[in-house]
Amino acid sequence: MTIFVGLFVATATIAMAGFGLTMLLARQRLTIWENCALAWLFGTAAVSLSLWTGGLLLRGIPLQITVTCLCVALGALGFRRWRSVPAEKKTGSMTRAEIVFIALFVTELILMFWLSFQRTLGWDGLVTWEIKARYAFLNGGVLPAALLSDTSRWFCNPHYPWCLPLTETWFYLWIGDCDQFWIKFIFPFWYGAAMSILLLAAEEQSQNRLVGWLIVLLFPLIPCVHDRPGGFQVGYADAPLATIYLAAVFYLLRFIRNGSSDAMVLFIALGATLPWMKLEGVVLWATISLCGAVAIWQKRKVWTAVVISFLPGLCLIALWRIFLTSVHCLPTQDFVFPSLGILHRNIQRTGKILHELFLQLIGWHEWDIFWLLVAMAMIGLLVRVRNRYAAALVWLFMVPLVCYCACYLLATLDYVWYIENSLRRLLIHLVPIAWLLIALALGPSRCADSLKK
Amino acid sequence: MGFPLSIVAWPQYHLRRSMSRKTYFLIWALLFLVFFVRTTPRLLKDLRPEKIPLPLRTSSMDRRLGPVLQLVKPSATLTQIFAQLPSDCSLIVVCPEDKDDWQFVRYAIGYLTWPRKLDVVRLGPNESFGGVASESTAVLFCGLPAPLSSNADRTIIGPKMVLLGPVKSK
Repeated sequence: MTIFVGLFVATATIAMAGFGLTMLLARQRLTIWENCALAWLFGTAAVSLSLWTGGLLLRGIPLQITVTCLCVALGALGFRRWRSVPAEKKTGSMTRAEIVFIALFVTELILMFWLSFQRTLGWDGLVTWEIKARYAFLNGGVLPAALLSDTSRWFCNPHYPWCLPLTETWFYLWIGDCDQFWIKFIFPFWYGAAMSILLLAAEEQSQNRLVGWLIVLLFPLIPCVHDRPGGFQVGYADAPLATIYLAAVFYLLRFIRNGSSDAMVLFIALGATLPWMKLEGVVLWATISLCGAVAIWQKRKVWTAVVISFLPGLCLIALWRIFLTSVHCLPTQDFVFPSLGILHRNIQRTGKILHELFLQLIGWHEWDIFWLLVAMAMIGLLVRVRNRYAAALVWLFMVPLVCYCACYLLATLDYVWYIENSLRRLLIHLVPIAWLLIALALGPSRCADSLKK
Repeated sequence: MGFPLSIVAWPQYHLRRSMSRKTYFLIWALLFLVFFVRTTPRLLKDLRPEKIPLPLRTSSMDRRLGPVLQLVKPSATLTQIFAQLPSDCSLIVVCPEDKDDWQFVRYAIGYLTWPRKLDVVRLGPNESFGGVASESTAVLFCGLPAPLSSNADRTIIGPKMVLLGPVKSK
């Protein structure tokens, strides 16, 4: 019983903080789907950042009380704001089909909880992420700085960002124990958030609600999502990172569509939390920030807005680097710093990297025909759509993919082994964006648009 | 396009466009159907209830450690044994070099022994461990035989592990 109360309070505090932050960032009311998704995404970021920064001064019960008060205060501020902003436009009553789709979606979410509980945490889920949550819990909610310079525990990659471990710690603090079974409760929330955003994003891209539902209901059928390391049920940071990236991309595309200030603020804020989830988040943040900078310049023609859009993410990355340096964190050994000499020496790896990528994409056991659908969508976009959304989406999909592949040029380990072990997980970051490409390909063609005009 | 020509061409153009549009969406419908038919059985197979582990606080780790160490509750057993070591005692883990199973065991020991200092010695097929347990160091042999001549406390942990505890000062 105590466990359930703990799980409820930890979830509620995260949701409160996230809801508050969402309402403070957005000036207009969002849909219920967006509110739920953003409450979780911003809530986890806020709680983990509070535990990290608060942990520099406090620990134990005082730290837990402080972070709880912060969550409640943010929630109260958000609620006040929510009451003062005008209500969202009513879109009419729900159709029977919509009710059926919602029922199917709820079933899908329950299945994801079911899958999560019947799977154990994966290798990295345990010894890269959950291990830090355990150490932080045993140390009063604060990750011990000694861990960052402990060579014997370098296997747990202490320099990886702490969003996921400290979110897990928050649950442990409320449960009152480290529990590898109940901690799996949190991962389907990221799934729910991802599907809520995907529904709206796919609908906006295809201009068809049915396509949105179709994609949401097909999403969990990709074998990698439910059956392999990196999916939503094994405690890795890849699926949560994919969720944040999807949300950031959704608001960037909305900003490109209607120039809304809310969408701009939200994509910048979500983008800034990407590097806090996983190291690869830096690549995703840079990709979305560059695309966002072009969009902001086209819409606003103000350099200051462009520069400011980079600041939140840059500040977070800089703070994290300063912290790692100040606690004498051991330098990373997996990659070398890029230089012309290194690139020239390793350029012969390119063929093998592309070959491994191709093998991964045609791996029917892991992806079935999913990447065939994506290839089809790319052709569809090229032939039928060719507009700025297609350009933005292709950029947001291709640039991280190219960067991820290029990283293997800098790997110090046996790079083929490294590709075989990590490429599948890296592709999971891009799966929701690939679904958006499919949604856009199913939308109205360029000719149809021009005929409408 | 001149007026008389457009009267003829416009319906044909629309018909062609409408046909290609229908074909395009038909291809998509077929692809989705194939995807659905191929992948649904796998999801259903994954949902089979017999895979659910017991809701134990160390269920994830035990599931990986159990088969390697051949212990019933490996995490609890190891935690209990490590708790008997003095808090300033460091641990040397000696294990075979080229066996993947032991890699996870090493990590699990690192997981369970925090905040104790940990050293790992990986031995090849013809190598032997030259170190000894001391007042502040315990040695844990994983998947390898421990030397018999040592005067340290010997704790046998299942069929695969032996802990040579720290030597007590006289």
